[in-house]
Amino acid sequence: MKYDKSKYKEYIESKLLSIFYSLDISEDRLDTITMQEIREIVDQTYPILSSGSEESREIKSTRNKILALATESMYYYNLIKKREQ
Amino acid sequence: MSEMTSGNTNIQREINLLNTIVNAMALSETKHSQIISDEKLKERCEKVYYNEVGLEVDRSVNSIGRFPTEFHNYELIAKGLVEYYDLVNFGTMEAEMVIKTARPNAVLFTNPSFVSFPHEYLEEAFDFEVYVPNDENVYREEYVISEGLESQLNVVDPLDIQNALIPDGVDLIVTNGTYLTSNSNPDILEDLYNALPSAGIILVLISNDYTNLYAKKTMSPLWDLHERIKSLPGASSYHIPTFIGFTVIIKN
Repeated sequence: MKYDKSKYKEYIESKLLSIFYSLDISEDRLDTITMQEIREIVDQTYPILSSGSEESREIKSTRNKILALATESMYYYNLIKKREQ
Repeated sequence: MSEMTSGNTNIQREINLLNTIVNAMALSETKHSQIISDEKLKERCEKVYYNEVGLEVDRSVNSIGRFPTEFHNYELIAKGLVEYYDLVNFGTMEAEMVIKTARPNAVLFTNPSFVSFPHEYLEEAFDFEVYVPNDENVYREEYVISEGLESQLNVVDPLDIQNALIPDGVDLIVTNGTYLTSNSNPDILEDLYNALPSAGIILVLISNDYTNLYAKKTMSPLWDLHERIKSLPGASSYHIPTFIGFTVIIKN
């Protein structure tokens, strides 16, 4: 088979750790953190501003990028873990 | 003037995006529709969706986000939402059109969904080398859908793609807006562009956030992406505003 679980898991972990780094989350949380917690941390780190300013635009854009990356990475990481159980 | 306004209103009344897509598919002849029938598409999605449901992986809104994300695509098809079939086929048709027009030596897909780009389709539709990343979609193809049949495509390390280390001979990269805007490598667009040979092409699929880009304009990361695309040195770029939108970047 061409699928290589170890290489793929390494890739997903690297993506998650890059998110953790940007949100100041400890690497130790890799196997325990939930997407709900990540959303709450993103809300605290990048609060939505209603001013319509350049600052609010950049914050909204950054939020969307992080949440999209986190959603995909967390889902696939959890899938890999479930298969290992 | 009033006649023109009245005419525009009539046009707006007549155009329904989903109907437009259905008609576009009826007026086209694509390899995707020939190779992957509606029944086969539904069967593939059922296998993957119910496999993941069986693993009890969290599919709440908190986990997979609100519609539309890629996680909703195969769930909706697995549950028989037939209107969604044409939407998927339409997205693949857009890609097939550009790929066949470009006639590349080899094509690299950065993140091909098992829904839009089944390996069976990629193997049969194109007569040049096709590279895909070692990712969840390869697992789904080999272990869930084919139940043990090895993929015939070339599989590459996704970390290499993220670092813009592309296989020799690749002169067309097929990617999408989400991959480019939410990548761990913030310079992924520029790095992939630089890795291409002269006259190479990047095809960015799903590049308008399902038309939300036009409503929110500068609030979307995809707006920033297109600003970056226009800044690529020596590039010609074309954004095509279909329902899912695509953008073609040509390295001159």
